[in-house]
Amino acid sequence: MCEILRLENIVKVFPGTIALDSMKLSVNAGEIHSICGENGAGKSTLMKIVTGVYRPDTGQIYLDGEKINFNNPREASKKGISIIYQETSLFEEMTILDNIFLGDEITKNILGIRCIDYESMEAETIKVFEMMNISLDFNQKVKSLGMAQKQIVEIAKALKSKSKILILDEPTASLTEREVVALFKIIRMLRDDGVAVIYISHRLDEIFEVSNRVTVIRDGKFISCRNTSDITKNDLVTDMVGRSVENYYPKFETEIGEEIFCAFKLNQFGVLHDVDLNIHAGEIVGLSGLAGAGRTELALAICGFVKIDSGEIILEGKTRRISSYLDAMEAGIVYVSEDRGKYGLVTEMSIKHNISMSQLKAMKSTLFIDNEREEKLARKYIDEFGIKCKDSDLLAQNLSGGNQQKVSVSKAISLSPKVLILDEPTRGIDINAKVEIYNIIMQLVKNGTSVLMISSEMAELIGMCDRIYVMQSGHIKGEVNRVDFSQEKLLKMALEVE
Amino acid sequence: MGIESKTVKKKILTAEFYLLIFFIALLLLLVIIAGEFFSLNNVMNILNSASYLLIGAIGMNLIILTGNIDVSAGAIASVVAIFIAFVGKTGAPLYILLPVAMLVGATLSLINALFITWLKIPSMVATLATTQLFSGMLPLIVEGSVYGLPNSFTWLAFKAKIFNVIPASVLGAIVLAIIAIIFMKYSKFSKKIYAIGNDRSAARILGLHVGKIELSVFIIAGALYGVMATILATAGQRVTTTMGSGLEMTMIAAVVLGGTRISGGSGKILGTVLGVLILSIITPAMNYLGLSPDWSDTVMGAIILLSVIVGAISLVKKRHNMFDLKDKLSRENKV
Repeated sequence: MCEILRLENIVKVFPGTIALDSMKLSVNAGEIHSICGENGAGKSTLMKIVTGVYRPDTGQIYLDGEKINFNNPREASKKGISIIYQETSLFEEMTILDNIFLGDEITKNILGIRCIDYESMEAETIKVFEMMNISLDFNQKVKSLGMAQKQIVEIAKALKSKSKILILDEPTASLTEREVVALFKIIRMLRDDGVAVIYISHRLDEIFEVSNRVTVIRDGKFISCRNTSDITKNDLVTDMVGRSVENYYPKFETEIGEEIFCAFKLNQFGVLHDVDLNIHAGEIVGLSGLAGAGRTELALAICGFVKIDSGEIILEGKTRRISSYLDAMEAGIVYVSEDRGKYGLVTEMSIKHNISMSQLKAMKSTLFIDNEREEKLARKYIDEFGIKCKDSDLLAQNLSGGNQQKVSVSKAISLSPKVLILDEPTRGIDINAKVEIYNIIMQLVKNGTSVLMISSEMAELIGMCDRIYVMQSGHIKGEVNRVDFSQEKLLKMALEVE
Repeated sequence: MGIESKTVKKKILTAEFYLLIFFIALLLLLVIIAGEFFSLNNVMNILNSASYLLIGAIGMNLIILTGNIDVSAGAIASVVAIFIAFVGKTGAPLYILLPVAMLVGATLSLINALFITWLKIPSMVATLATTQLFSGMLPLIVEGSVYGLPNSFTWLAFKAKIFNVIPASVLGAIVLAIIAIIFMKYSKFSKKIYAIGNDRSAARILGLHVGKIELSVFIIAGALYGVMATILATAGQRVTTTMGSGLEMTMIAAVVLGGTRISGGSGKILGTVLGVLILSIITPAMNYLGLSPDWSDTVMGAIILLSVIVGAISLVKKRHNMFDLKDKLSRENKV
């Protein structure tokens, strides 16, 4: 087995974060190589560099021993690197045949004009399908295919273009067990044929079942690369977690009161399964889990954005019917989205207008909005939260990420919620701003508000929460109290180890 | 063997087949209700208008396939008509008028395309604006109409007949339609058109030059509008400033009636041919039956609206969620 892909000293920096820090990677031809890491470890960025979507700031990429630079994804795919994402990028209204050959159709000359040669394309597709041991009517439109079949088409596409490296990003997320078995059969066949398969997944069982080696990355750094036959799942988890928890969380003891919120047996077909969760007054409850675990979906369901199929929401002992976000707000539940640019703020409007937006009725005096009232409200939060601005008329888009988040949170807090749901409250924010947000959260709970914090940063949850629920595939896998907090424990629950 | 017969059945019972049935049914209905309607003159007129409509509709079809729309087609046709009227006054024959028309049409359409591809203005907005621009400038150049055009100008309509009775425009339409159908099946370029209409960003990632392809499509359509305008303009010795006005609605209606999705990505030229045929007998039939021309506008509008609704319903069928799932997945993939 010889090395076909080598990355050395890859550095990729984005404003505010170092996505990849001296990353290295080595993949051999004819192997299935898994890449493992938490949310935010850098897997996605790494793959984007391998497939030519990003260019590394520094570092070298070697393909088959040759140093290369990709300027765009097309160059990478021409060199034999293919990637299949969870959301396939096929053209729904076109046939399987068209999709497999798009941009690269086989042509023949008829009377001096280049025409598409359907016979040759069909013949080659049949050959590829036979190799993969599948049969599909390649003249049907892709939109009539199921997820598993679409993936197969994407793999066939990669095979047809003689890919040397095939990257699969969380391929089994939407497959049934039978389909997973079929997929593995195909991957193994590819490997035996000399293709290098890079397999990205959170499912440790699958990693051990199908891959030869596994590379663990954490915080943008390379941690380890070992044979799956030499290690155990626990070893992987240790590698994935292994950092020390920074102690800059301004957590202090607060009075935790009665149970104020309870979600009882929430079900949403295919998304949430029998979710039970409760929150006490003045408590910070964390919601942990890996990408796709269902945390945001749970929040959206609680807040009435999406209908639940069964289950109850009980607030202060009374069952509430929440069929829209308005109901949730009236009940005292407020949600702050992780995508503040899209759902948290109107960036083209001022700080003042953003903050007052959620309670315009209270800003009214007779018929019109009272500017003084708006100003007062905005002032309150600007001073309390230290939003850095000259005055409240500054447009939100001119604020830094941290300050934008403060505005977003102010808007929510001005409604005096009983339960505040924060979805990734410190994503994309520098350390200082993070601490300021943590302080705001502590102020809130001191005054009796309860907070449900969704975060992918385990350290953050461990630093700030009183209790943490761990989710996986729409289930609550476990509940951990502050005394028992540990990153390893949380990750193991999220990965279902032991 | 069972699978083969199924696919053969599938290949015949397509949407276009049902359209053909509908057209034949309409035709029969008209023959029964208003047989006298089918005088030789009427039929030739219908064939002529169907021909120029089809030629323009093919261009519109290509534009809609890419996910764009062009409401300025009628205005472009009006400008081209006036332009070649001026050229025609000098006695220029058809083999000069036609290329000139195609050139002017292509140029005006290019202006649209530049707004859309360079300035990234949505096609609906851009072409709405250029409609006003193009049709607005005509009354500034010409007062009312260009008249007194020589015989060389009206040759196509009056003299060019097949078997002495069928307008030559019919031949032109048939030839162009056949070329278009073959092109859309056997050229690599046509696959790119469909890809862009399906998923622009996926097409871009694949390496397709979305802007270049859109530009080409608009230019081709513009040339086709030019041919359409030529047939329209040379029908008489006078060319008014509003000859093409409103034609885009009929073209769009024909295209969506023929099965092309208004959002792009799927649709066949053959469907558009049938759409044009159906619309071409509805309008004069309604006129003949005494209904005012406004009714035909209403019918056009209803057809377009219906197809948009059908398209929208199929989108809503996908699981309704306030937060876009693709959004969420792309966020999770961010780092």
